[in-house]
Amino acid sequence: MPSAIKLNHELADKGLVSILVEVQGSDEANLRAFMAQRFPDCDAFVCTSAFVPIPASNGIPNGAVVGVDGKLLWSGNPASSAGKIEELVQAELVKVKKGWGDTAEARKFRATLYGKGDFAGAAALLAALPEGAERTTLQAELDKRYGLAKKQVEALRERGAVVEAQAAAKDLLKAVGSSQWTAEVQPIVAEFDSEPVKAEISLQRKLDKIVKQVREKKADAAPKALRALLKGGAEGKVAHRAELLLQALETTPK
Amino acid sequence: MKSHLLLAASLLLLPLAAQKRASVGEQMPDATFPTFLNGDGRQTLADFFGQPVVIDRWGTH
Repeated sequence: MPSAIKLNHELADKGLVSILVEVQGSDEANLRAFMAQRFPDCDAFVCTSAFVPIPASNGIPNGAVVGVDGKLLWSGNPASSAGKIEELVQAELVKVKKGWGDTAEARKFRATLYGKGDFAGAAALLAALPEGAERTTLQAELDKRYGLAKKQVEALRERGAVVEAQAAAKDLLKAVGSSQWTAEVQPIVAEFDSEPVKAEISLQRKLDKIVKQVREKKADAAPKALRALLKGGAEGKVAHRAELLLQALETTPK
Repeated sequence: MKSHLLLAASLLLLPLAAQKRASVGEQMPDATFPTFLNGDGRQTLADFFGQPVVIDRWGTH
C-alpha cells in the first residue's frame, strides 16, 4: 500500500485514480482510525471490503491497473511491481491527454473531455458529428461526465469538504463555458456566497490547519485543537468531519 | 416441485453470475465500492471511466 500512496501523490493531479480496498474486515471507524494514524497524508479513495472483479488471488496485497477505457491492463502483487504499474499508468495518462478511440473524431472528443475537462468544447465537437453509433456513445460519455461533476460538488459538501466543493463548482462553471449547462451551473456556484456556506468555509479553514498538522505527522496537539474547534457548539458537515477526525485520532486501530 | 427446485438452483447461482471477473485485456465488469472515506460522489468503477485506475487490495492486520 505505501507504494500505491506514493504513486497517487505523484500522479493524482495528472489524472490517476487510486482505490485502496481493505479486505481484512475492518469497519469504517477502524479504517478511518488506521488511516488517520498510519497514513494521514493519503489522498487515495479508501474503502472497506468490496468485491473487485479482477482475477482471484488468495494473498494480499493484490491489485490491478484499469485503463482509461475500462479494460483490465494488469493484475498481480503491487508490492513487487511498482515499476510496471507506473509504466502502465504513464502510458494511460498520455491517452487521457491525446484521446483514444477508433476514429480521429473520437480521439479529439476524448482529449477535450477527459484531457482538458472542457465540456463546452466536447459538446461542440459532438454537434459536428453525424448521427450514428459513435455520436450516441460519445454523447453518453459527455452526459455521464457532466452528471458526475455536478454530483461531485454535492458529495464534497456533504462530507464537509466545502472548500473543495466550491473549487469543483468553479471548475465546472469554467468547463461548461457558455453552453446549455451554464444556467444550471451558475446557481450552484452562487450557493457558496450565502452566509451559512461562508460560515462553513470559515470553519473548514480552521479545520484544514489541524488536518495539515495531522498530515505532517504532528498530530499530538490535534485532539486538543479539534475539541477547541467544536467547543463553541459548531454544527454542520464540517463540524461532523472534525468530530470524525477526533474520533479517528483517539481510537486505537485493531 | 421441479420448477421450485430450478428456481432455488437459479437463486443459488445468482451471486456467482454477478461476480464475473475480468482477465487481463478484457473490459472490466462494473463494481460498486462501499462509501469511500474521502469520496467525491463517484462510487462505481464505471464512474472513473476516462482515468487510469490503480486498485490495491490490502489489509490492516
